[in-house]
Amino acid sequence: MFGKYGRVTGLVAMLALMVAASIPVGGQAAAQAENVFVYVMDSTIPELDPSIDFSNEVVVMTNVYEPLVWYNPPGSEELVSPGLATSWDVSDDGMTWTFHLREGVTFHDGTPLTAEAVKQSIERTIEMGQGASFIWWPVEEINAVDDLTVEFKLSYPAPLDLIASSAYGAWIFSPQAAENGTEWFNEGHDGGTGPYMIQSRERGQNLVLTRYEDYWGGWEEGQFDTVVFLIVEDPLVRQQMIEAGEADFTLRLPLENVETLDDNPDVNVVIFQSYQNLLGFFNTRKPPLDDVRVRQALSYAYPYDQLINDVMMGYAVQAHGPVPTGMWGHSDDLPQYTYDLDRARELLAEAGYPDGGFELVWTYNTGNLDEEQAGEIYRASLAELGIELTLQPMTWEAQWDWALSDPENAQDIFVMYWWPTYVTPYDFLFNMFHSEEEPLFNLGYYNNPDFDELIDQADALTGTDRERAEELFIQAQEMLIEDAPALFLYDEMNIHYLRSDITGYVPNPAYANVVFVYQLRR
Amino acid sequence: MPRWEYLIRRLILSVLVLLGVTVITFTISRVVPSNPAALWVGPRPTQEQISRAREILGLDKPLPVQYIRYISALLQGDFGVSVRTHQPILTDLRTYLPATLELVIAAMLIALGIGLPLGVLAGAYKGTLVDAIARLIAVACVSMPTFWLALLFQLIFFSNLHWLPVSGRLSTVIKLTHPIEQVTGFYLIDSALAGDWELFRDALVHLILPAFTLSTYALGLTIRMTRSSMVEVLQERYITTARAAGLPEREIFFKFALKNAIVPTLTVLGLSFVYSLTGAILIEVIFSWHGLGTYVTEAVLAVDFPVIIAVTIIVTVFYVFINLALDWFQAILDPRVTLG
Repeated sequence: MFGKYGRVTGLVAMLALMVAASIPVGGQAAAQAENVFVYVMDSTIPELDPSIDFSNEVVVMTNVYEPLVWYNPPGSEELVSPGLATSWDVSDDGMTWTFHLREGVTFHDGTPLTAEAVKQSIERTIEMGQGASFIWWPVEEINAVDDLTVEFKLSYPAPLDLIASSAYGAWIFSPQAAENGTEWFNEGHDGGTGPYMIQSRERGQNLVLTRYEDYWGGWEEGQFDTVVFLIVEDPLVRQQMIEAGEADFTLRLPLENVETLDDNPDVNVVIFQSYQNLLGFFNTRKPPLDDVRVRQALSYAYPYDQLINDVMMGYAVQAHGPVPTGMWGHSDDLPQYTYDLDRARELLAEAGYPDGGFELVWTYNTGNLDEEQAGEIYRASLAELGIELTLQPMTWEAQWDWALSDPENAQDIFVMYWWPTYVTPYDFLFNMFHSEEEPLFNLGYYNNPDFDELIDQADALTGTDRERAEELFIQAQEMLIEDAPALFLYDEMNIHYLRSDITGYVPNPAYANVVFVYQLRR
Repeated sequence: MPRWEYLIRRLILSVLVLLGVTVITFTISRVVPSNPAALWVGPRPTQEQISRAREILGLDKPLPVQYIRYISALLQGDFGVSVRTHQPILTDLRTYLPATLELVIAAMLIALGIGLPLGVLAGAYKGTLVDAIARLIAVACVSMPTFWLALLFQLIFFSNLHWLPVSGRLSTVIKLTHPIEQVTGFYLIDSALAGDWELFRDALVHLILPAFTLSTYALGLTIRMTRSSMVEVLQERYITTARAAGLPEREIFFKFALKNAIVPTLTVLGLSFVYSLTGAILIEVIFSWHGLGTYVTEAVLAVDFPVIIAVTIIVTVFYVFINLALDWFQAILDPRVTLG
């Protein structure tokens, strides 16, 4: 029986290779003919229920759903612009908001957009209580005044226009579609009003969008018919795909290859400031970090230039406090700690640690190279002050659990990224630095009633007097930088790669890594 | 011992092995520091969301109670849901397991198809040029790191020659124009069943590079194992008898000698098959072949314990049955082997 087998099998594999090799792949030409936009991403799209999604699904959701209001890209005159609402007004006390809806909008299931649908969408999100539903906490009551007017009554003043522009939890969807439940959405269905509809989804592999012909914005010659999201984990493969034209857009390629790609005439490299930053919380409840002088000394001991230039290869800027560069509420006039070991030594001596002599633990997310290297260079610098830094990688949940368990025995420095749910300085300042009875995200356990009062006041004014609110937010950050409850490390830049024949791309950091495909042409 | 009795005894033992594996994996994945409730809620959880998640997941119950709950669900065929993605694990496995199996089986067939004849020839013509080349190939195959080989293949066959696709299981356009009906989850079989030859060709072209890369290690082993067993078997008296009887060389090598020499090769190949189910992670990542390896790696990084346990069980089942099948096969092939 093996005689025959042995003769034939040796050839089979070789034959297969030859057959395959004789026919070229030709994916690129075909893709162009069919007018397909291919977005190659690096991780999966877990959740498609518009009430729950709270991570990188946003790149899909923004092409399928619309909120009442969109947050504008930096450099725009206004912070927000109309989405499904064409205009809105707020009462003087900031407690009642009225949104006027766009006429002639239909959901993908054919039902019309009405005030009742808006009310039901948001109420579903609130009732389910998952994902980013907390953005609606200030809302006490939603009323459909007439077919195209929705009124929100709040329990305390809040910037509902900004909330409605949130990248998560603010989608308006067809109430009929939502009755099918979460599992129905996750099978690859949607109930949005946006320019594209979800056609199919293979979990963990790809997702396909197709044009919604009755989109209220209408369609012009040259807009894309189909959008494909592919998941490719390996950065070098993503790079090969963008170079070969198999991808139209991709991200997170090796930083050392940015320049090579920039020299490639077929690839357009877009670099811009994101709204994400890296911080290292000091444990303000545990000696010696409970002494503000020690925290200041440690802030002076961080080699910021090395971090920006060597670790981040220039694709980040040193932070000025916790509100990231380019966002409203950020100020370049805020003071920064600079690398100054002499000043650090002075402060340590004042605090009673002239030769250092203590140990600190730096916890970071397992596998995150930036956070690890940020720790490595710090360890070298602290060694010069006689302080020993231990780097401890952990899963995010484990790191967080440790911080929540017992502050007095928790890690000394908790390293993490922050990004806003909706774009307000309050998201950064409240979550990370407002005092908490039970710690949640204030992971340095900072507690300053004056600071609390200042940012709460600023938040209440955000809906009605944004200029004054901004002043107060900046003032609060000044207080924070003086108290040094955290290392303010860097504000990250995003690097996006597009094929150079794609036009119309405007990056918008409010919606992380999103490409609004409707705006593009080839 | 009669064969059926042996079989029953082995099956009972297998159930015990599986039970032991669930206890160990469950305990380990629950004592490593993590917070499944927080993982369940996602980014920015609130305290209320976390305590609700603890109830939903049954984490408020003592560990033995949790284990019994898990096992009773498992016995009803319910693997539970992933804590990270909330997706039913069974649904996930339906996509990831066939993807991996298609890749691994293709790789093993390549290893067998090339390795076996090469090993036989090397053993038969020991000390000749054929032997030297076969041994060189074997050493190269076993010692070259697969991730490096994968990148090299991509560079040559995709970037330079444009012959083969760089990654994925199908090309984007084919995927859009040829909706595939999932019957077995093996694209080659499903497309052939549907008679869609364009789809079949696309799936085949995508399979070549990852399957070849994955096959290298097993290929090297196959050559070495077959060669050394051949050398041994060819010294047996019955071979001399066959030669004296004037049988053609080809028949002696591939019929009489190989039949006795193949057993160790199949054992090695069988184990390497099971190992590749989750061990092919590097190849899966580089070729974006979303299979069991990628699935379980993501689960391990996030301590997504229901997924870790489910995949461990699946792989254990494969181990147990492949071993059983190999022993069985060996007994059939070689009457001298007794089961017991």
